Amino acid sequence: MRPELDERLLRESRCARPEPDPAAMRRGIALVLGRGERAARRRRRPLVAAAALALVLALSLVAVAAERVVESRAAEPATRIVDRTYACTPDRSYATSGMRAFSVGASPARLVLPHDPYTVPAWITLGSTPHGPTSQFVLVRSRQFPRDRWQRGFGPGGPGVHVNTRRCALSRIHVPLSSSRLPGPAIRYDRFVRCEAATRILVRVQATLALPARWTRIDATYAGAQRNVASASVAVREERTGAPLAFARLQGGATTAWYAGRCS
Amino acid sequence: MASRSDEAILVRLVRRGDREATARLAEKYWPVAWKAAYGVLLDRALSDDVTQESLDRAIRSLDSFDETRPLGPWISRIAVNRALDELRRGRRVAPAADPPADAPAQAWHEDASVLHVAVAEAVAALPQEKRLVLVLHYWLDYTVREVAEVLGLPVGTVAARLSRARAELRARMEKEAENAA
Repeated sequence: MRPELDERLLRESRCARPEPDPAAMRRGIALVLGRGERAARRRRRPLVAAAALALVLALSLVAVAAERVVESRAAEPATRIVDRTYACTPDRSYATSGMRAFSVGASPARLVLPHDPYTVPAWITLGSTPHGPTSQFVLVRSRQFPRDRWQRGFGPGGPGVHVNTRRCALSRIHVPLSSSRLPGPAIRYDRFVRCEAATRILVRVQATLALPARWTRIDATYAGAQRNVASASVAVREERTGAPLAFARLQGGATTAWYAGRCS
Repeated sequence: MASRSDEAILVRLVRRGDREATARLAEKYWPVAWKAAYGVLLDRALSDDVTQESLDRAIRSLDSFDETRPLGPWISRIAVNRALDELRRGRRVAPAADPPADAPAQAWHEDASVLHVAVAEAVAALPQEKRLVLVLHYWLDYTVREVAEVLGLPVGTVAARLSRARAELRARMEKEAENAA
């Protein structure tokens, strides 16, 4: 039977649109509420603090051209949802005419020594090479490393979301959490690639923690929220062009990742 | 369905910073905003992002909202504008690569009839410029003039695109019906 495509049928077909994912909806609403609370707290500050805020805003007008935001020093409430975007500055690679180079990758949870039943947690990381204790820009680790020695040389210890505040500054630029425009298939094994960018890179990390945690300073280099991570997404784009470079997801002990063709 | 006065009370509570009211408003209108964004973007992850930003913007702009008007269409329009911004931003990026082989197929509502899903799939398969005018006019109830305004096009161009989009949809569905026969 050939259906008549009349306007009524066209309008009715809107009912075929899918429903939003409930988990994504809960995360999104939690973020909206969190932002609303921060906005309400700012309105209640006394006049002296409001004047200081006005000064910070004036200074950040200068930074608006670079779309950078001063990392907040005010205490943030404990929350299970982390959603932050940073502009990070990789080192220049002298091998390739001064392009900026960084490594990015994801690794699922795995047994390192089959006879020694310890599982290395799943993680997503982005940073400079060679690896060192302060080389990581963004590090998401699902759980504590089972052995302390495994943590050295891989950024701050402990589970959670960690950001290198010496190399990265908060940004207001929107970075979609999506693998669209990145070639497939998705990579589900341990793989790290080297990417190059002409300018800074934008990194957005969204994570759901197992328990609420505050975003705090961890040491001289890193800030973060240190709790086991139930799920996380990290999206990387070149700041100047917006070209996607990588997208990785962590769910439980599994990871999936997509990398731009120019990363290898 | 909540009356207009219930909605006005909710708006006033949210303006006063009532967290529970804000959560209720967000829960109630998240699906509205999300479906509007999805119609434009056809991408679940992007629609999640756009919906979150749209609700955040709507809540922050409630002071200037006329509470005698219904809230749903207003929030829906914020989501559509934000989704269109996302599409425009996407055009400046390198051309889209082929979708990953394991990307999920378009997911439609499980309660929708086969016919409605067929029409929705045909709409989703249209070239973007035809799909947008169709979605805005038939799925989101924008008048032709409003479609022209939001897309920055002359009214005549929108009318012509709508006509061509319907013709192309008809042709696709007839071909599908022939193939199925």
